[in-house]
Amino acid sequence: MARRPPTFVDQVVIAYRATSYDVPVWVSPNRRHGRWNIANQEPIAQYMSLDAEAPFAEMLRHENLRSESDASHYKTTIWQLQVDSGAIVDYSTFELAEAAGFDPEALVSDDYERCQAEARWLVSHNARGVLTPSAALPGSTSLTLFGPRVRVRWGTSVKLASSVPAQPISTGAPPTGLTDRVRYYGQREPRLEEYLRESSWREAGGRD
Amino acid sequence: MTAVQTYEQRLGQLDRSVEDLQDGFLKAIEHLRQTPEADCSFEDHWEEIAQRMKGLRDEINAEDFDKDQLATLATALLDIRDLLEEDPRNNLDICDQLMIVLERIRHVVRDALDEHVAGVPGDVGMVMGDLDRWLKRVPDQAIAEVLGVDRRTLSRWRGQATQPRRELRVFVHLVAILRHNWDAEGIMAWFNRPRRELQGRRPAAVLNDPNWEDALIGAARSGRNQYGT
Repeated sequence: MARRPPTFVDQVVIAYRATSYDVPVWVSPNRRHGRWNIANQEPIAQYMSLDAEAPFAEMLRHENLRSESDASHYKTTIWQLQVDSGAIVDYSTFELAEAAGFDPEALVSDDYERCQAEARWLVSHNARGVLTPSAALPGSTSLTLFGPRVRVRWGTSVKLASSVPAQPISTGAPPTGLTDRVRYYGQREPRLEEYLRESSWREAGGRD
Repeated sequence: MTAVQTYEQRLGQLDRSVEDLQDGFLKAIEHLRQTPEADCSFEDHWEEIAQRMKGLRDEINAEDFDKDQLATLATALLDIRDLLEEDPRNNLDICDQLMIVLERIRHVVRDALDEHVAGVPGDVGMVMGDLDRWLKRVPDQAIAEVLGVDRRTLSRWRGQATQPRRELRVFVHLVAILRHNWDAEGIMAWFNRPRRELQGRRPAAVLNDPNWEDALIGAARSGRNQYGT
């Protein structure tokens, strides 16, 4: 049976993103693979988070910095972005993803292939972004926008589809204690496990 | 007499020039939005912006960029020419595309500036000067171990003006990228930490293998930007 087209929500949110470049968003295809993109191919993916700790967590997971000591030698700038976009797909919970026909395990899997294929499918249906659970910081939410974006000054009233007002808010090392909460590659995702347990309990009739 | 500009000055000027152009462009769009019937002052302003966009080609010095960067710049300049022919004044989508193309140029300029190492084409002494600046307090022994050379070789290079060896050229390129996110100790630790992109290998273990050069540069750059992991 063919999958039904994705349903969209509007997102007017402040998002956060870590980068040491002088602009926080891209206009060219990503240079490397990410969960929702393939290197040097469309769609361009702009990765951000809905809280200011998750960007650090993404970097700690990527760089495999597991101790406070290792993390203390790393620094980055956290940017604040004013996102005002329609056509966002809401997979922010495992339940929402599954209800939309997307395997919830793929959202946080260490293998990105299914998410990359899903991104192509979503963009083919004119999606401009997707909300998902953060694989790096359980409990946080990631927002990935598809397509090129250009940073404009904070406070600018957006006139062009690509414009995103953004400003740097801090530069420094990851917050102390964050390494204990990051989910590194190869580690289990407790919230996914809980969701799957509850799902199978419901499927079994919801009785002990 | 015109003073010869340094690489940083030339690219810094180009970067500012593109940014000014983007600002002027956004103001013109705002003007157009507020006064849909374009008046003479708008026409003059618009004409000036269009001329400046076309003139960007003359501000780009080919020697400041590598082959891939030049290809991106050439495509961007052609795109600007084509988009301007479509008369963006009455079409916000074309304005948006022009803004994106200008940003592509800025990103190339920024990358070139961020990863620039003095002396790479032919002066190992200058390369060592940048390394000493970026890796203050790192013992020569530690750098020599990553490079797979004797500690005394580093001292010798500091006094030479010959072409740097490939391993040193790659090493200093990596350091030029890593310094944006890591302190000196963190940079040296990066070379000894196994990485997924290198199939679990340590950067130091593949530094001398030309087949891994692109992967190493990509791995260093990957620490600069948040991705969905």
